Amino acid sequence: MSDGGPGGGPEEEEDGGEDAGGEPPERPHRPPRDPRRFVGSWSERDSLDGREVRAWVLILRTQGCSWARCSMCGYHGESAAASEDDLLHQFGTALLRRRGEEVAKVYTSGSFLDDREVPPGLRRRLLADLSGSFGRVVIESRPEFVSPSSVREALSACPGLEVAMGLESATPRVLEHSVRKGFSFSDFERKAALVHEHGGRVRAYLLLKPPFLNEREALEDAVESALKAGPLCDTVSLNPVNVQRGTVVEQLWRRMVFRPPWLWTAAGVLLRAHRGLREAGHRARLVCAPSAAGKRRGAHNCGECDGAVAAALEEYSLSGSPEALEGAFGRGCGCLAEWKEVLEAGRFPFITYDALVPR
Amino acid sequence: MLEILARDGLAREMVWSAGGLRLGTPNILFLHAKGLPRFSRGEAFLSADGPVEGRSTNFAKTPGALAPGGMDGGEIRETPPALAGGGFTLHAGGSWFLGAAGGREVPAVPPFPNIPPGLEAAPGEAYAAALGSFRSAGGPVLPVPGVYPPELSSTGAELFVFAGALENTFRPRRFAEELVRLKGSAGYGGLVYAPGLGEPAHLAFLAYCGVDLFDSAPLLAAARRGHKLLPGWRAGAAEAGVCHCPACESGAGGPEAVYHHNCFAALSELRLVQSALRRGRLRELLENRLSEPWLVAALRHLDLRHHDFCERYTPVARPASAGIRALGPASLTRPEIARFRQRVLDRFRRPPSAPVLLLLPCSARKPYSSSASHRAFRTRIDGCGNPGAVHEVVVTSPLGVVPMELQSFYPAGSYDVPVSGDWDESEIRMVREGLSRFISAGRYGAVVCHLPGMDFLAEALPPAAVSTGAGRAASREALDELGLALSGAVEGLPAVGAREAAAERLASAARFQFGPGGEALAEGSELRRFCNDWRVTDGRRTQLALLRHERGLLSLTMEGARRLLGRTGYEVEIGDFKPSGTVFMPGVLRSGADIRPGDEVLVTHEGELRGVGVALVSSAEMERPGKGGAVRMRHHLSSGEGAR
Repeated sequence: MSDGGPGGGPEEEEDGGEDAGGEPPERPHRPPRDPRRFVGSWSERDSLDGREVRAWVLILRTQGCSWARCSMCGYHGESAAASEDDLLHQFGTALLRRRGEEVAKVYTSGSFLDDREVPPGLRRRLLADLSGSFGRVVIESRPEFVSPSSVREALSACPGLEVAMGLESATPRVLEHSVRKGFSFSDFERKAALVHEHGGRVRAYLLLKPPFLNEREALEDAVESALKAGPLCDTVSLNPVNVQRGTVVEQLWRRMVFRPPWLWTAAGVLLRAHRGLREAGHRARLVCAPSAAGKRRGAHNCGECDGAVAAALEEYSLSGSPEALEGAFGRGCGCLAEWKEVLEAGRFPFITYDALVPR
Repeated sequence: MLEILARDGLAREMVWSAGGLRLGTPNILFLHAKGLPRFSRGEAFLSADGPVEGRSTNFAKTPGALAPGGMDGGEIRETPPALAGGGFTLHAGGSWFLGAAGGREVPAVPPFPNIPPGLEAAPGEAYAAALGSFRSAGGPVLPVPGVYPPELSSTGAELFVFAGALENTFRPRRFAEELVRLKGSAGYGGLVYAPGLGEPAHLAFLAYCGVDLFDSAPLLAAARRGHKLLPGWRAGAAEAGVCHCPACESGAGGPEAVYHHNCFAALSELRLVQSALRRGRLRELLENRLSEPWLVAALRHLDLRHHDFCERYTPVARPASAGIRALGPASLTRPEIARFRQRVLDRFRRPPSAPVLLLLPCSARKPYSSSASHRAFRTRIDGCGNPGAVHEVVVTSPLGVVPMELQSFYPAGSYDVPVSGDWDESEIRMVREGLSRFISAGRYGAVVCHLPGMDFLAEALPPAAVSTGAGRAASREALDELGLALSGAVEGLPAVGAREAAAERLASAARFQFGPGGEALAEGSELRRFCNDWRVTDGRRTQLALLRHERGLLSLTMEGARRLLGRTGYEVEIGDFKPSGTVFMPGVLRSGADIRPGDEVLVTHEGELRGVGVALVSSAEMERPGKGGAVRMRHHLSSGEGAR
C-alpha cells in the first residue's frame, strides 16, 4: 500500500454475510470512541525521490472535521473530544510502532491545520518532531485552514512539508452536488500556490466515482480533474470511492443503484491522466491505493482479476511507469468486455445501469 | 404532438410526433452507441450517436384493432394512416454533472442530475436549477427525478422520464407511489419513459401502469449475465431449443446473440401488449405475466393503495365478448371488480316490494338466467305464488353479491372464473363481508339460502334464514325444497304485479348505473325482453332505454335521458353547439366526476339536453386541456328519438 489516504488501509473492514438481494439492516451504534487512542496506524510501501521506501501512517482521533458534510465520507464517526494531552499520547504510542520508515503521513479525520482539531502549539511541536526524523512528512487539510499564517508556521517547523488537500474533483457540479465539498476548484488553486510559495509540496486527493455519477462519468471526471489539478500538484492521489457507513454513498449502495468503481476504471484513469500530464510536460506523481480493493464495499472487478489489477495499480504508484497498467489491460480478463459495455452504457446517464449489473 | 388511439385503464396506445418522425407507443427504445451490440429490428432507438436508420413503426399495419369506444359493440376501427418511415430516435443529451452541452438533436433526454430524493442537502435544488434550462430550451422531453413541481403537465413537455423507475423495482410500494404521483402530475395523456426497464416479463405490467416507453438496457445487462429472457422465465444462454427467434435459430453464441434473443423476445411481448391493450385485455395479459415478486407486490400496492386513482381511468363497461378472466388472488382486487362490489353496497337498493331474499349460486354461462340451473330455479320462483316478492341475488367470486337485475352489467355479465368448489380464505372473507353488509342494508323480511356447499357463509346469514338444497343445487330434491321454502317465505305478503316488479328491478339497476337519480327512469315503465336484451318503454309506445347484454349498461334514448336530466352526475356540459357524431374535448366545459370511459352520459348546455352518448374518456381526462373525442353521440336533438 503506497498511500492509504486518510482513513484507508488495514482498518477498513469488510461487511460480509449480506444477501445480495435484500437491504442489510443498519448496524447498531458503535460505542463512544476513546480519546486516548488513535484511529489507526500502520506501515505501507511508498516511494521517495524515486526510491521505494516505507511510510509510517498515523490517523489521529480529533474532534473531527469542521465540515463533515461530504457525501462519501464516514470519518466523522471516528471523532472524540481529544485534549492536547490526549493527542500527544496518541502520537507517542503510535510512534513506538515506527520501524525505520522514511515517510510520515499524519492525518486526522478532518484537517491537521484546523486549530479546533490540533491546537497550534501542539501542531508546531509535532511537525518539528517529525521533520527531524523523517525524510518526508505529509499532512492533510481542507483549504480553508491553509492560510498564510498556518502555512508559514507549518513550513517553518517542517520544511518541505507536503500539504494534502481533498480536492476530490475539479468539475464544479460534481464538487457542489455530488461530493458537496463546500469549496471550489479556485479555492484549491489559490491554496496550492500558497503552499508552493512557502516551499511546501502539494498533494491533491481525487475521488473516483462520487455518488450520482455513472462509471463513464466517473472516469471522465477523474481524468479531467487529474489533468486540471496535476499541474498544480506534486502528487495526485486517486481514491476510488468505497462504501463507508452512514454516508449518502451507502444509502445509494443499499438501494442497489451504486456500485463502487471498477478497478479497471482506476487503471484507465491513471493511464489517461499519466499520458496527458506527461505529454504536457508535467511531472506530478500519480498514485492510487484503493481502500477495500476487491471487496463489495470497495473498488472491485469480477472477483477473478481483482488481485492482479490492484497489484498493477500499486506497482504503477510506486514506479510511476505505465507499463504496469498497460500490462494489466493486455492480460485482460473475462470481465473486461463487460466493463467496456458498462462504460458505453454510461453514455445514457439517465439509465442507472449500475442497478442492472451485480454490485 | 401526441394523439391517443386506444385506452385500457392507465394504458394508452398513442402516436408521438417529434423530430419529424412518428412513434407508436407503447414501444421499446433499442440502445444505439458505438461499442454496444446493435439490434436493428426495432422501430425506435435510444441513440448516443445521432439519428438511426431503421424500419418505420409498424403498429398501424395491425388489422382489426378495436375502436377506443369498442365497449359499445366491438366495432372495427379503420386502420390508421401509414406512418413516416425511418427509425424513430430519442437522443441522449449527455451528462449534467460534467456540464455537457446537450446536442441539438430533437427529441433528446436533456442532461439532468439524477439524484434520488432525500439524498441532497436541499431536496431538488440541483433539479430546480436544471428545470430552468429545460424550460428555456422548450424541448419535448422532461426528466423527472424524485423531486419536481406538482404540475408537470403545465411544462408543455410531452415525454416524461421516470427517473426512479428502475431503482424502485426493488421497493414496490415506492414504485406504485411514485408512479401514481408522476401520472397524476404529468396528466393522463403525457408519455412516460422508464429508463432501464424493458424485460419481456415486465412489459405488460408497466404498460398497464401507463408507462409508454422502455429501453433495451436490461436486455443487454441480462445478456451479459447469460440470461435468455422470456416473458415469464429466464433461461440460460446455453439452453438450446427453448426459443425459435431468428437469433436463437442462427446458432450464434456469445453475449451478443443472447442480447439479440432478448430483443426479439421483448419485441414479441411488446406486440402482445399492444394487441391486448387494443382489445381492452391488458389486465388479463398482465395477470398472466406475474412471474416476479416485485410485480405482484407493485400490482397489489396499485390495487389496494391507489385504487381510486386507477379506477378513475378504468372503463365502466367492456364488450361481453372481452369479459374478465378472474384466475387468482390478483383478480380479486382489480379495479373493475372492486368497483362493482363497492357500487353494489353504495348505490344499489333492493326492490321495495321484494322482502324475501333468495341467494343463488352463480353459473358458468352468462347471463345467469340463460343457464340451465337458473332456468330451473326460475320455474320454482315463478311457482311459489308471489314471485315479485322474491329478490334473487347471486353469490359469487370475485364479485361477491350480484343482484339478478345486474346480471348483464359489466363485469357480472361476462366474467369467467375457475370453478372447483374450493374457496380460499380471502375469497371467503370478501364474500362473507359483502353479503352480511348487503343483507343488513336491504332489511329483508326473510332469507332463503340455496347455496349448497357454501356453509362458510352461515355466519353472514340472519338466524331465521332457511337453507335449502343439499348436494346439487339443481337436483329435483333441491329444487322441490327451494320451491317449498319460497312458498313459505312469501306467504302472507301482498301480491306484487309483474309490471310493478319489473319496474322496481329496473329502478334498482338504473340506480346502480346512474346513482339515486337513476330511479326516475323506471317510473311507470314497462320492460320487454328479447333474447338477453331488455327494452324499456314508458308503457305506451316510447322507448326509454335498452339494456343490451353485450354492452353491460343501460343505453338511453332522448326520452329516457330527459327523465334523468339534472338528476345524476352523468352529464357533460358543452359549449353552445349542436352535438352530432363525436363531441371533442375542447367542446367540453364540465363533466360529472363519476364519468368513466364507456359510461352513458347526457350532453347538456345550460340545463338543456342536447343529446346522449357514450363517454370515450374519463371525466378526469375531459377536464384537462386536450384533443380527441370525449363523447360519441348516440342521439341528439335533431335526430329521431325512437329506437336506435
